[in-house]
Amino acid sequence: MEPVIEIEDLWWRYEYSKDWVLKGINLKINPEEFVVITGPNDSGKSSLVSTFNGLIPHSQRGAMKGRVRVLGQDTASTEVAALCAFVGMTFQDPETQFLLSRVDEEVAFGPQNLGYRPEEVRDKVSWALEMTRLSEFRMKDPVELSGGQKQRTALAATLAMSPKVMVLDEPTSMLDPIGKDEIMEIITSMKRQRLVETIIVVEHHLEELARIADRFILLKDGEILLDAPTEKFFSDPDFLIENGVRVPDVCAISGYLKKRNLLGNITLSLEEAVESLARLFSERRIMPNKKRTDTRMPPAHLGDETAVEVDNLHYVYPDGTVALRGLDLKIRKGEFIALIGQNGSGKTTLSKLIAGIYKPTSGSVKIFGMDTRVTPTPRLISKVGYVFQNPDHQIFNDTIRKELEFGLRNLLSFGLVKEEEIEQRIRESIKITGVPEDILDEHPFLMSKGMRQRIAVASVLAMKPDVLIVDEPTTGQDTPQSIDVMNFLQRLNEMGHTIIIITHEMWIVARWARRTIALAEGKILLDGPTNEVLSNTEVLKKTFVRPTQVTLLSQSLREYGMPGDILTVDEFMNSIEVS
Amino acid sequence: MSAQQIATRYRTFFSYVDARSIANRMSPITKILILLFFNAYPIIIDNPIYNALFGFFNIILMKIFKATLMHVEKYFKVLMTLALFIFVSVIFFGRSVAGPSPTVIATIGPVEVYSQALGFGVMVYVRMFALVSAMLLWLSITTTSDLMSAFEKMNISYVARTYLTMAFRFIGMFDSDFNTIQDAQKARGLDIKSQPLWRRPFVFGYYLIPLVAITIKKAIDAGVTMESRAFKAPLKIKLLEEKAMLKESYVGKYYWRYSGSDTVIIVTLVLAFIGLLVARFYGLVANPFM
Repeated sequence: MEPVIEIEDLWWRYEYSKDWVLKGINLKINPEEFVVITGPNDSGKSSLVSTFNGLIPHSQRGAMKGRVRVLGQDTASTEVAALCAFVGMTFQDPETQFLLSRVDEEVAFGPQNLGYRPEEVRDKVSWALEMTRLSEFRMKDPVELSGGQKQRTALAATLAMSPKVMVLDEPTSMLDPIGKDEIMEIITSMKRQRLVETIIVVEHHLEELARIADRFILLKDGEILLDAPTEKFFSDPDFLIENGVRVPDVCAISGYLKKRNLLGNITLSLEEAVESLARLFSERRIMPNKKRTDTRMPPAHLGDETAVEVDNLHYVYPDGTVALRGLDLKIRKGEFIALIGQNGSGKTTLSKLIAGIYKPTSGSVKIFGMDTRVTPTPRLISKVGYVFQNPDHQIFNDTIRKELEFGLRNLLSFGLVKEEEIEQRIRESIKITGVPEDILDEHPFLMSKGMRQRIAVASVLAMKPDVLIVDEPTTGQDTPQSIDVMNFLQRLNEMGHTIIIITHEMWIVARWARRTIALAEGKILLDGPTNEVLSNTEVLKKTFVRPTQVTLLSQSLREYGMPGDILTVDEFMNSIEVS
Repeated sequence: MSAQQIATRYRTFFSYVDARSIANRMSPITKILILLFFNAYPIIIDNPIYNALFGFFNIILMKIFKATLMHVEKYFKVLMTLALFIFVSVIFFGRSVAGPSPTVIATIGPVEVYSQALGFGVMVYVRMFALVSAMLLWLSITTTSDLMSAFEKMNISYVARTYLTMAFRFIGMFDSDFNTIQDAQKARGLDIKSQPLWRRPFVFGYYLIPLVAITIKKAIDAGVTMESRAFKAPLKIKLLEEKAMLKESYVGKYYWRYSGSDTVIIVTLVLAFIGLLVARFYGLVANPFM
């Protein structure tokens, strides 16, 4: 069988970098294969797939060695526009992919460029919208759609070009749980209905893909570390974890049991895992651990002082959108809280009201007793810090030092900090956040996104807020980086800061948050200890949040005496005893 | 339920227009002529009263066309700040625009304030108000498909009309990013509303730098997406050899509309334009305050 993509000894380096991003890649992808490429950030995943439609080397500047052939055509000598007829590509952030302001225009753009007649374009648009279940939204502005619908629009726009190979670069990384599910459903139906010949997905979230993909490739430092059919790829979970891959929970658990010769194979789906473990329980080869200890650490400095008090809070945006409908909430000093819920549930609005960025339409928010409606902004920010998801929304100074000083200078003008304290506070904040001192006079825009995120956190931390709100702290980060960021927030919590995170990542919530608040349609649906909230699967359905795989697994094994509120793989292991 | 019924409003370059608005029945070419005429009006007319009336007329039209006014209000607030700067300039540096025989109406220390300079300031400010309102009206009722199909009928090349349309589309994106940046800076104690009026233009710098950086990033991303969707594809490519890039596009075919009422509007606009030129020639629209 002639491969659709054939790569021979591929090396690639960006113009302003000394290091090779891709180092001697050899790869063949065959027709009808469903391939997942995974690996830590900066391992070269996106660069590799950019060679498939010729964006590398035609649109990116740099040096390339080796050869990439797509359907027999050498990409180095074929224009991107010509390769696009064969290879369709969608990217991580759906919003940056929208060129026009109606869904159908957006989807029509590609086929139109390929020279199809308007009637053919119309048929292709209708077909692609039907396949992505977007027909009813064809006249809408793509920006107005939900996260999942946006990414489906981007998929439809590529599908309408009838490519033979479809490449999806981290299609779910910026989506809420329901959006992730929507995209996975579309990808599954693309495979089942053979809408495209070959599917290639770059992804960190492997739970769903492990069930449907044929083959996985692990890339690290620009090299292929592992390339194997799905089952073989997951056969050594420890190796994958060591190399920065977050393996599905059921895979990690079955890996543990396989090492103890209790299981013959690694399980890749929840259903398989339930079946295998139920058998082991029935055969009494494993049993619930009666002496299970609580592995979850309590907050270090949980005091009686009320940090945040929200009373009958309502918020209506200037365009009339009702975001919050009568919220009541108390947060004690030293808590570590996760706000969860689908996009539009009111998480970000609530956080911005707590930070004093928005003022309540009615009701009140008090921070350590100060009413945000009447307290001046600088006084509030000395108590509550808010770190935005995208650090580039707040960085504007020409040196990192000035960036870190900025908030402090605003406090200085209100007498909330002394001039002589500024240097000390900067030193403290960079120490905590890991911003190297020798780069303080560098331009922040020259730093990597991860470092810019740290600078943004440091500039907020320098103001020593008692409450720190972080919006999506792990977006765009790989597993080791996410763990790093969350451990950092945990350290701050241990130092006495109250931490509030907004996230769609349930494994993050399960592992770090001590209290979880689930919002839906501007109301609090659930509020309590994380294990209680995440194990309430029935109510959680209303927020379109699905608990982690391990929670669902433990709930399915309740009849064998397993507790139903297990949140992490470690807790699960701690809850079983091998006979 | 049809797709048309699902969308209750359409995205325009600046905000949204109600799906039932009469603006959606207007031909794209009529909208282009509205852009040209409504922007020419304040330039031809010097009389601030006529320009002020025209500015208010544009706002009334936005209401009639059921355009979303939420974002528009913000720009008028910016105009208020601009008023301060214009009047400070004509008070302190008004001699050069006061003409050969200026009338002093007040003195501030060594500075003489001239009535002609103030009249000039009023003219400039009201002209800007009229221009901004005309532009906002057009941006609030025009969609990407309007501009693409109008340009197609004007025989503007596919590549040029796509670039031009996308440039206009970025205006709305600026607005949304600007709001997020404003919130992000507020989180570090910078609240423009708490700043004195004179300091606000300087504070804008803190917003503009991230805005420019983000816009450049978005432009790069848009460029990559365009390439990935075969923009500027060669006329014949291997798979589609028999399909030449056709003159008429999907948007041009399915979004173009023209009716008798468009002819009436266009004739009225052309006659009004000729009338304005005649009025200017006979000095009927001069600034009476200078």
